[in-house]
Amino acid sequence: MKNLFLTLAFVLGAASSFASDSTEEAVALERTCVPTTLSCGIEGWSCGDTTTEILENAIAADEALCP
Amino acid sequence: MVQKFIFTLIFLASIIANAQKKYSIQHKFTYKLTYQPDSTDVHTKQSEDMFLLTNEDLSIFQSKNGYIKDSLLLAIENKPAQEINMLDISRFPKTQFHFKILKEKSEDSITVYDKIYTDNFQYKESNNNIKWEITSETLSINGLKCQKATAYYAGRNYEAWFSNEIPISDGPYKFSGLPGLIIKISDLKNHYVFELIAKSDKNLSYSSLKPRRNLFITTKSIYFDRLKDYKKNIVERIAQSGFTINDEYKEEVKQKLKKRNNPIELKN
Repeated sequence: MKNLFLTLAFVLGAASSFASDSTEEAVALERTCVPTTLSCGIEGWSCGDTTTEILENAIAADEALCP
Repeated sequence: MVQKFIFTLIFLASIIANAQKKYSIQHKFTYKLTYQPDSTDVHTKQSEDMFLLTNEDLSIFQSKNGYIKDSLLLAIENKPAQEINMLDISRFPKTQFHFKILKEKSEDSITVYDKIYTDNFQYKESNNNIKWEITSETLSINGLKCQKATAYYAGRNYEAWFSNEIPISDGPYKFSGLPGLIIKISDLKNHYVFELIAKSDKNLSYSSLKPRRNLFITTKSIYFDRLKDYKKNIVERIAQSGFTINDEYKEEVKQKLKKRNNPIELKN
């Protein structure tokens, strides 16, 4: 389990920025798009309403485009 | 009014109970799957570890990386999107096999959960689809005495080696129904080869069978029709779902996808 969280920290941690609580509430329903680099170098934008959704879209793209 | 209230309460309780359903697992078998995504090029072979998780009543088969990925995503579920401003996905565990196959002893069908890109599907399939022919040929694999059986399934002829020494009538993918665990199974072209590489009897709890996002309950033939449509318009479909590929990569992607022409099920 420790390894899982280390991987997660690596994926998200390198370039994460934490907004303040009040900002999060104000924009909670906005769809966010994040510049994303896939494992084979392909670049694009991954979008979603939550961190899970953005990650799932990026992972799905990685699995489909970088087998 | 009271009846409506009670009905609503039961309905909500059943949703919650279903969402939180946990399975107690007694045995974990790890298989190495070696597969050839391009049927015309033997050099495209890749491999991936898969788990067969069993207890007395059921088994679940899925990829190891899919299992790890589910655990990671569960850990961050519903975090606001504003907490990320860039993603490097290169270290995240990935899989080419999204199916989770549930075989329940009390049912005469197996339940398959699978994905087409980010859409989740569930379909059922009879567990009598595979007609085994058991031969007298034997072989020792990793110290286990195995016996050969053959079968045809979904466009491929398979050769399986099962062992009575592990008296569990199960195996990788949708394969089961032999008088012992399948230790190795491969199609005759060796495009899909499952080999048992580890087993453990550690108890564990499994709770991520059903997907978190929308689930379409359908039939196997509709699922495969959708899959065919997706493959025809893959770049566009990916863009609709929330990942936009920068223009300079689009042609490269289309060429790459042409080389993935050899699914495990050739017919359904």
